Amino acid sequence: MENTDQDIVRSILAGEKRAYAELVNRHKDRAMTLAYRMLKNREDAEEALQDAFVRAFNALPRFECKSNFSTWLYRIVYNVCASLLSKKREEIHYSLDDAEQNYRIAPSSTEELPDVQFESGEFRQAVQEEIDRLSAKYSSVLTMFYVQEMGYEEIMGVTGMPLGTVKARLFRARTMLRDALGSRFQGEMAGAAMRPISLHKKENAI
Amino acid sequence: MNHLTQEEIDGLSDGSLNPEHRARVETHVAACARCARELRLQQNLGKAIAQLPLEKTSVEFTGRLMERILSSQKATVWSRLLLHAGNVFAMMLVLGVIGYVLTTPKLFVKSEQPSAVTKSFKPFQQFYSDARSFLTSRSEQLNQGVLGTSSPHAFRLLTFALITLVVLGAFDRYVIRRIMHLKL
Repeated sequence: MENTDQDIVRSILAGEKRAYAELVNRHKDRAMTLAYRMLKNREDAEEALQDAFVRAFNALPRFECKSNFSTWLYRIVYNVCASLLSKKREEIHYSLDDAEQNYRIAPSSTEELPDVQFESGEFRQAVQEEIDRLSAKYSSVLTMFYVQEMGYEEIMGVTGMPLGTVKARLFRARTMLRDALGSRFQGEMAGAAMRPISLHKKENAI
Repeated sequence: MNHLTQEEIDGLSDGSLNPEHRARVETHVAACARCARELRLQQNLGKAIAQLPLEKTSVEFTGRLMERILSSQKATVWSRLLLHAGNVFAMMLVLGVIGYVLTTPKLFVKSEQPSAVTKSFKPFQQFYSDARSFLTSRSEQLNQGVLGTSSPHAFRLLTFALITLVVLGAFDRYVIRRIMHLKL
């Protein structure tokens, strides 16, 4: 039976420091995906990831084995990348306008894309390129939600943002992605179909 | 007809709606082609994002990282040892200088009335005199090949040395390092 992350952490804390390599190998690609989506540069992302793993190693005695190691690790990765970005003056942290908007689907005039198109290599390539174009604050949330398969609570724990901001950023990220993909695929997707509306109008739903 | 909010679409696709709300949303989706389409679009887009290949680190990533971690651990052990050796040496040097000064009569000008400073140094002077006479007698015994038993001098010397080491160590730990912001 495979050791859990917590088992490995316990053995590292007991003195088996080389076991950390196994933890690194388990999580490095997903963590690299998050770092790359935030920093948009492979070398920077790898360096940031090295720093994050070193920090995580030094902080292992403070890790509570009850909690999820990957979420804890991603929080460190996110903070290292956010700190690098703040040096480059890119805004990543919570801003009020993110939380103060809610959204409703507006009427769409476009036709539905056939499902098969989502499976095509061309479409995937386009999605990859458009995610790379999103700014860090959107691509990071999108990556955590879909790649790391985190729930809202976990994303809140990693980023330190309130629930409203997490949801709003996720929505904006999807909208921007759909807009961009829509223009690429000649308006076939309903990229422009979603518009921000005031929170007060939400009670009219359904 | 009012359509679903994005929050409801999100809630339906990630399963975070409560059962009652979920049932209402599902009923709406079943009757509304546009909301059903939006839900499907979102699900397909999500699936496409999740299926993108992960970014790979370089081949030597883990090796380089482990080398960095293990070498920094080794460096920490050595630097700690070096630091402690340095501290012990510094303490011995200080103790030696104080002892030499206090037990060398020529360095002090004798006066009839001892000053307050001289009085305050008296206990130290006594300790170091004891230490010097103990070491002198010990070395004489060793030179003559006679190993004597422990004396009250030895006990007093050891006690004083230990107390001095503890005081200097605490001073170093809680004052010097705090001032210098040393993280060791």
